[in-house]
Amino acid sequence: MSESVKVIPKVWRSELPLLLLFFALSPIAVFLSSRFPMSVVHGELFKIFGTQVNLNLPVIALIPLALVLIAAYRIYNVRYALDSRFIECRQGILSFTQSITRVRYEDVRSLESDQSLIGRLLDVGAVQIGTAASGQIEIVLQGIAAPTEVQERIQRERDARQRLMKKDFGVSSDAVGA
Amino acid sequence: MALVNIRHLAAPFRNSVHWVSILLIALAFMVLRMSGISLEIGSEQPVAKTNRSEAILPLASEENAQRARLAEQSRSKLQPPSAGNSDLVDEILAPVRKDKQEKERKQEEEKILKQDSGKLDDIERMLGLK
Repeated sequence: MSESVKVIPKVWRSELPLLLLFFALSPIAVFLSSRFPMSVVHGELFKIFGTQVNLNLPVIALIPLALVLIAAYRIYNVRYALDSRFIECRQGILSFTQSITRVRYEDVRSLESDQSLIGRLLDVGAVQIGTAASGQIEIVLQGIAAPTEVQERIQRERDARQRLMKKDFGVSSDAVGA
Repeated sequence: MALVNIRHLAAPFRNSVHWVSILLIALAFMVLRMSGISLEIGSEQPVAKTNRSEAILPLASEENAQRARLAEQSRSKLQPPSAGNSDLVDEILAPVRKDKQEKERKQEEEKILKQDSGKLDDIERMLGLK
C-alpha cells in the first residue's frame, strides 16, 4: 500500500444497541453480585513458588464484559482503507482467517450508501460498492461515519480515473490512426 | 529501537475510536471490581468455600477438627467476599452489620486462641517437650 492511505475506521456508534445493553446491565450486575454472594465463584487460580493465588470471580458481571468485548471485536476485526489506486477491505484481523478485498476505482460500477433512521441521526451507515466484473456487491464498508461523504469521495476518484482513461484512450487512438 | 517511537506510543490517543475503547474497557473493569472480582495472594492454603472444612483437616485429630469448625463458623459469619472487597457497596448497603460481624469474629478468634494454647500445652507434655 502506498503512503497516501486514508483509513476509514468503524465507529463505536455503529454498535449502539450493544453499548446501551452494556450500560443497562452494568448496574444490574453490580447489584445482583452484592445481593447474591453465591454468584461470586472462589477458587485457586495457580500456585507458584509456595505462594497461592486465589480468584474471586463474579459470574454475573461477566455478561456486561462480554458485551463490550463483542462490540470491540466487531470494531477492530475489520479495516477499511482508501488508497490512491484502490479501495481495500480487510476482514478477520482478529480471527484465524483474514480476507482482503481490493477494488480499483476504475472498476467501481455501483455505489450505494445505506443508513437507518437512527443511523442518520448518528451519522453512521454503510457504503456498498459493486463492480462490473462480478455484477454484485464486492465490498461493504459497514458501520462507518459520514457514509455519504465517503460515497462522494469514492465517486470523485472513480470519475477522475474514468476521465483519465478516456483522455488516454483518445490520445492512443489518434496516434494509431496517423 | 526505531520501533519505539513517541509517534507510535501516542497513536492510540489520536483516534476517537481508541479513546472510546479505552474508556469502555475501563468502565467494564470498574463494573467487575464493584461486583467483587479480586485476587488473594498468600502462602497459606485457603480453598474453595464449598470444601474448606475438608481441606483444613489433614491430620484428622480432634483438636484440628474443633479448630476447623470454629474457624469455619467465624468465616461464615463474615461478610461475603464480594461485599468485603467492594467497600463502596458495603458502605451503602450495610455499615452496621459490618461492625457487628467484626466484633463477633474477634470474640471467636480470642476463644480459639485460648483453646489452642491449652491444647498445645497438653500435646507438648505428651511428647515430652515440656
